[in-house]
Amino acid sequence: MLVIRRRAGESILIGPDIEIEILDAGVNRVKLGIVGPRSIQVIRKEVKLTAETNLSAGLLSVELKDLIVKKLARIPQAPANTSDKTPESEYSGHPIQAENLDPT
Amino acid sequence: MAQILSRYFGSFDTREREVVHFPDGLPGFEDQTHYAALSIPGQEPILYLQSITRPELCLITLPARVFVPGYQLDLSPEEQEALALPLGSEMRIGKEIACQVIVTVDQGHEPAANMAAPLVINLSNHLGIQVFQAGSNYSFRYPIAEALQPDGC
Repeated sequence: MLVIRRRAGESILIGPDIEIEILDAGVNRVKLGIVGPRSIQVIRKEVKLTAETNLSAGLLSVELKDLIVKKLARIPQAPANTSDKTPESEYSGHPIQAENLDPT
Repeated sequence: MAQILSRYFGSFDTREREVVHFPDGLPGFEDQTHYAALSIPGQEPILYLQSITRPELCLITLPARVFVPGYQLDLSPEEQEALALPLGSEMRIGKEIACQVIVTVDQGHEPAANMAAPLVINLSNHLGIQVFQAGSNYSFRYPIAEALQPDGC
């Protein structure tokens, strides 16, 4: 990894047409200004990681869903047997909890 | 639209369910903003979040503290605003808000939970957002089986 020290107001250039300027450097965070062609997508890394994880989690086959449920039930402390150990199990008794589901 | 379809659960009526609204959708599913909350007897505390417009989209979630009992949530002022939680108001997991993690399978087909980006739901208005916990060392694919093994096993 290339490491470069910069101060607020200074910039780096990546390739011929991308500039990243340090607009502000605080104790915990820095503010960046990014200039580049519209064709280059700029996103926060965690958004990409979250999207990848969501995409893999949200569209599981019925078989994989059943596998997860089975494995969760087999683990001694989770999840059906954890009610005593999770005093803040947020959905118990709360109206957001769906009623008994009757699969059709 | 009251009757919705689910790949996992067939069809059911959303009027009988709580529906969580994620105004910005979720990363990867930006166009899916409304999810019916379903729990199945015998499978608690699993909470399924079934998209009401996309039958094959259903998230398997559990309270974060099932896996990490001391799980701490850090919400920025912007995130509180997105949930319509007044600044300075109490935000207790299990009281005012729910903190659910999404479970998937890793490459070895073992369940893994996304502890790094939990779903936070305001329990009073059912607004939700997915928040990235910057600065935490929580993993996007936390191996559940390992986490729940008793000490010494």
